[in-house]
Amino acid sequence: MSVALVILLFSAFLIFLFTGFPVAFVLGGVGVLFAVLGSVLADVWGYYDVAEIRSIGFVANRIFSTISNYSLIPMSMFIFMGYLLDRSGVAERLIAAMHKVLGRTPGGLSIAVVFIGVILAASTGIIGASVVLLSTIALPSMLNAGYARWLSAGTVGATGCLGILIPPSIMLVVMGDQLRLPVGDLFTGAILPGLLLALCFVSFIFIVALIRPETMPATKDSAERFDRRALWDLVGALVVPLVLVIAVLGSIVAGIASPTEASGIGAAGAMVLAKANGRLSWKELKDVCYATGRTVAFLYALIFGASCFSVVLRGYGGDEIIENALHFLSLGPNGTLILVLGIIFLLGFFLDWMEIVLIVAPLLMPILLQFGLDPIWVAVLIAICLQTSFLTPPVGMALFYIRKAAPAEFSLADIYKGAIPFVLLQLFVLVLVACFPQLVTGLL
Amino acid sequence: AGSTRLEIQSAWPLTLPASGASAEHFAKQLEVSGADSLKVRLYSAGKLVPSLQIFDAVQQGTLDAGYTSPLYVAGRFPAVQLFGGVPFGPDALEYVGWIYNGGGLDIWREIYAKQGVVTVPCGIMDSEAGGWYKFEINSIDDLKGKKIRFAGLAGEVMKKSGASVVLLGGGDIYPNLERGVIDGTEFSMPAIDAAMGFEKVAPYYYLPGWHQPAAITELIINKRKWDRMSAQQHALIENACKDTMLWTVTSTSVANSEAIEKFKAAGTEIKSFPPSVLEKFKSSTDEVLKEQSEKNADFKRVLDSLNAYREKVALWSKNRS
Amino acid sequence: MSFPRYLSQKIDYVSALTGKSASLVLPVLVITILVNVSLRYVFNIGLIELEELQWHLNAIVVVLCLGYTFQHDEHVRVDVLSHRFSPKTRAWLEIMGLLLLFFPFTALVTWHTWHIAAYSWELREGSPMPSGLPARYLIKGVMALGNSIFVLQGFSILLQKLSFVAGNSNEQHTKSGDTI
Ligand code: NA
Ligand code: NA
Repeated sequence: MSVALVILLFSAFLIFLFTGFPVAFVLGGVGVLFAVLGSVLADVWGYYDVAEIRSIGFVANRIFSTISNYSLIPMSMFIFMGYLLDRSGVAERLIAAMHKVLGRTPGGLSIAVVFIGVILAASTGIIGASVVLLSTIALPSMLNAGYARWLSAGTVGATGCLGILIPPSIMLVVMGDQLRLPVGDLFTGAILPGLLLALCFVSFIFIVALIRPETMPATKDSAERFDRRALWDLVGALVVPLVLVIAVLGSIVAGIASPTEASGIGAAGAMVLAKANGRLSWKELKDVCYATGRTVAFLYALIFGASCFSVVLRGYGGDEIIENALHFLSLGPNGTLILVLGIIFLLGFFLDWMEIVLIVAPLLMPILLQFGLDPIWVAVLIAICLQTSFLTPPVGMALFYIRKAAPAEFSLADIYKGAIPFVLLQLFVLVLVACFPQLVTGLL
Repeated sequence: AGSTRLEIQSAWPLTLPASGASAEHFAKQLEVSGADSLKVRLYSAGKLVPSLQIFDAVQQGTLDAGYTSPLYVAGRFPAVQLFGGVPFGPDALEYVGWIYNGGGLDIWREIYAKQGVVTVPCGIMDSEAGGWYKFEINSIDDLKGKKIRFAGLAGEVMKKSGASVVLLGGGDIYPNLERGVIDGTEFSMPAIDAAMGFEKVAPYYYLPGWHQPAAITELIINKRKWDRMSAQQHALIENACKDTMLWTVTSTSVANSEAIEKFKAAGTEIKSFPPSVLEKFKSSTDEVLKEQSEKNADFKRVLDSLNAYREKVALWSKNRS
Repeated sequence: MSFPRYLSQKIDYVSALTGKSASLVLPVLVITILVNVSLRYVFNIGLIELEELQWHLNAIVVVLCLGYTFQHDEHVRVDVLSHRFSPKTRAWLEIMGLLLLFFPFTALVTWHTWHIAAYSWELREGSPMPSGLPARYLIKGVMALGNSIFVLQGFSILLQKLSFVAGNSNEQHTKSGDTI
């Protein structure tokens, strides 16, 4: 009976999800509907392994606990910082400079995109903003240069997602909160895997450029000359974000400041830099505040909705059912880890990182930790695995944003086809990090 | 009243020695003695409601009962902190004596009665340790400007001693200590500290835990729920709690000793606070307690009752060993 | 202008005004963190009040922007199927979603948040830390207020969608509150 009810709960969630109603409300609403059902089952049939309607009161308590959580403040600060950098013109300057430096190399533009993606990722980590930014500034030039459309779309999509893995990352902040792990350690642990992922992207592009040069022809435009001035432009464009990266990440990793403190400093730094670039009028600042407020609100709304869903799921005994099922399979530590990552990969086709981190990860994580696996390593593996969810159809946030921001020449087929090699690269890095835990624990 | 179902949430993970493990012990005890009369469903920390909000949930009847610490409602009822553990306060024996024979429980229940909550003392924990430090404390001046994580009344004492007090959640303490964001922290008793691995990041472990010579944990129950239960059911719960108290206080002696042994082997220096430092802590504690008494009448009432009891037994407690 | 439309515009106005005003707290939060950091690292002063103030400010942004975000339709949706539906079908789905999922969830939660705020007020609750911020009922009140505006915003969208399916309006989603 319990098993059937839990399956019903998840199915109801998926069905309502595809009506296109906001995910946060689907999670919360389905939770309430099942709490009502639970009360009926308890009062009428005397079946008590349910969540009753009164348990929605817990959700209000949990909402207060969430908004009063000091450790979640970096989420708002990093988003604020991200929007400020987005408006500061840093990325445009970078791509213009990179274009000059790398434009004449085969595949140079793609490599430049990855490079800028890493810089963006290390200074902030808002997927939507990064993908849209890269799409709008890089895809037109790649199109003009005659790059294969699928490859351009894939490069932009995959690279734009790096920010969620390479710290600072709002995903890691939320994971730290949900899995009760120190955010600073998660940040430190994710650095090498994130860079490794970027390195794999670059190597892949390089190899394709060698094998099939027609997909990424060198720029013939004589204006795009590589000279000393271009190099200085590049250095100039790099200084700004690098200062921020060093200030924020450096102070967290070196233990000078807590993530919340560092995020506040980063946001202040971004304000100063945007102002210095002449891009921060009062109106601009207000717009950045509004956009940040809305992004922060939608992320928290998801936490609230997921909180409701989780409370009801626990009332129905969902935790124990999943735990028992995994125990029943008795796969041992490695087998269970592979199974869990496989589940997360498959769920990633339909769900975003938020739902997975909020609902699925807290269910599966304790089971893995019972085997004595390193929690930071497991969390980073999950984080790498979640990278794929952005690129896997039908529900992939990166795909969605490219569709919105790419020039009309890019078809859905281009975008989907481009995602495939990068998803495979992500899985390759997942395997690497699984085989070599030092990649995570080495810097801790 | 037939069979009653009781949904209880613990404020601590059920695997945590002394605190969470006591909740589990209590539930198991009730499962045996309560048999058909009480059906308990025990949830681990945070499964339903955040630990700091268990009281609200019980008060509102969203949750039937909570296994928690009176320290967690200090913001709502400052007086109740005195039932959870007091700096330079009573040890386990004195505490239990005051609660049951010195009128402590009566005042405690009276304070909660207005809220529609019934408390049953349901665990008593042995002394905590004095904390982990990255620096030596030879005089009170050594604390000046140091960033230290300390909670509650003891946090105020540390502040008065010149330290800069930091708020940190349980999971954030270790990494911040490791990286030197904080210079020291109080945590719990050795058996629990051992699970956190602090010996890897702080060279000095100070004893005794002046800030909490003993701590009481409570089972709080929604009063409407309580009133609907029979006298037998009340007795079942109270007895299971008394059994749990005995279990809790004795469950950690061996483990604490072993933990200290383990710290020593790991190279930790086990140190005692110098008498001059303890004296300063004590006088600051008196100041803090006095300030709180002036601010809150209930606080004064509870403190007076506690002090009166301790005075009554002083000639024996001081000289018995 | 019909009354429902008038009402919907007023609600939009209120929720945009609260959301925008609240999000202007963000720079204040940045400054608070900076002050806290400088006090701690330069002057060795750790103020619990300032640390608590940080999450108070963040909480204000979060809860008061909930409705404003809904107005801008920025709560994430899975639209792989629904973007193929006709506008009318989408409007119907939205109405069903609001009635079946949104209102049960947000209204019930909001009712509980008012309960929590009222109880906190009754107790004149403060921080559990003796030197923390007093008057915790204020922030709990803001939580209840933010959720209430959220519910109202849902009601405004419901009115718009109903008016759209009834054929009284061409535009599906007016952002009238945005003219502030
Ligand atoms: Na990032
Ligand atoms: Na996906």
